[in-house]
Amino acid sequence: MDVTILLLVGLIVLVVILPPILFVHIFLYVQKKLGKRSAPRRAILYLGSIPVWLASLVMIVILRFPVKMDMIPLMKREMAAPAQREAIPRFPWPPPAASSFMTIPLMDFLDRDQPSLDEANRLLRSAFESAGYFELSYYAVPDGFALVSRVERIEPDGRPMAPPHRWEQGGAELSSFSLVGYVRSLFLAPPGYYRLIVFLLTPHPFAQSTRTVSREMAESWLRYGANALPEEISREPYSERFICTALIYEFEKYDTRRDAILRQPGRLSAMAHIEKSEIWRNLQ
Amino acid sequence: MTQLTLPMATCKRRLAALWFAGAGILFFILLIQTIFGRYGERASDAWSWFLPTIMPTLSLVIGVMVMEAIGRKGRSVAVDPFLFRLTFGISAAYMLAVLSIFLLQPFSNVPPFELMNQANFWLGPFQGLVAAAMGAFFVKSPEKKTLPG
Repeated sequence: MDVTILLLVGLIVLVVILPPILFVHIFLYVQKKLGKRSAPRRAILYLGSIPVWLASLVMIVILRFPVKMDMIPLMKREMAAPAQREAIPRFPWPPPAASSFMTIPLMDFLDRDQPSLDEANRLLRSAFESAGYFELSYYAVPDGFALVSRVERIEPDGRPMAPPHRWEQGGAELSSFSLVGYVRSLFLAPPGYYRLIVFLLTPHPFAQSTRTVSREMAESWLRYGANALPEEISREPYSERFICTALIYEFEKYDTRRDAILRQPGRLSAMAHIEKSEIWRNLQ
Repeated sequence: MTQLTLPMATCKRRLAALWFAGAGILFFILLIQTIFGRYGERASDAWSWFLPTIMPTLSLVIGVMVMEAIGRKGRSVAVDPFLFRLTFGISAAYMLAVLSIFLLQPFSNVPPFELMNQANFWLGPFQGLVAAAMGAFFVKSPEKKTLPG
């Protein structure tokens, strides 16, 4: 048996078992010096001190090394792929069912004859940023990547709401005052509309999974994605065999309900979303 | 010097008019909201919040007025105008406070039911003040009996 393991086991025994035993003996010694010692009390002391000491150890460990709940999925991801810590996280594959989707003829918008994935990424990123989407995350998909935007609040026709309401989750119903809008808000229950856009670049055709995604999960995609595309992905050539797919996740939230619900199918087409968000205009 | 006073009956009528007009407006706003599904499946929660804010005082007002209408007409009692104005003002402010919860909610970040729950913190004591003030006018006082001889 390895000496290191023996020492480790011995150390665990010392730390876990020895202190309560020592405590009992010291307690009994002091009691003997002060008064009579009764036999049943020794057994109770042993039975009581060991669990108390173990509970104290657990509390010390928890308080010293707190685990935040939102780190757990990140930890699980790291534990699942320890050899790929240098790579970006993987997007759920096949992707969860979206409200609407469409393919984007990205090749038509690229200037170079033999572009790389990096150029495709720059084009998409530029189109996003010109439309006001500055918070983006990257995920790996089979032989490609996914670019995820932040969940935004939109008008019923698909236009992004004016800032700061655009990025609020559950803000005031009236972003700008109009009498008609006010009367509608007063007597009707207009829901809040939210949208998340994902661009997937991969040469592999796919079918969306039957899984649905909650708004909270969609919001977490932005938090847990990579901030940039790794070089080993970006230097790959981008060709006609690649398919650029826009997945639109559309949510509705009524203020009488706690959670937003994913609309399937969406109220608007994917093209309407891409146009109203001004991404289509920025791609051309 | 003559002290100005107001007849009790006049004060009661004016207070009753304020309460019934205000309660009527609130009632119809909530009714229209319920009909158009403003509160969805939780319409009963909205009514459960609203009715206790007005019904106790309304019941008191209408009850006393009905009793007086069918009972003997006693001597007219004079009321200090300050007390009447104070009661009227408190009642009007209370109505306005309840109305503001409905009218201002579209501008608020707080969902409607959460706003109603929060409003209970300040409407409760406010309603107590209103009840105490209204009690001066709508609680039937015992008639003084004159001894024979």
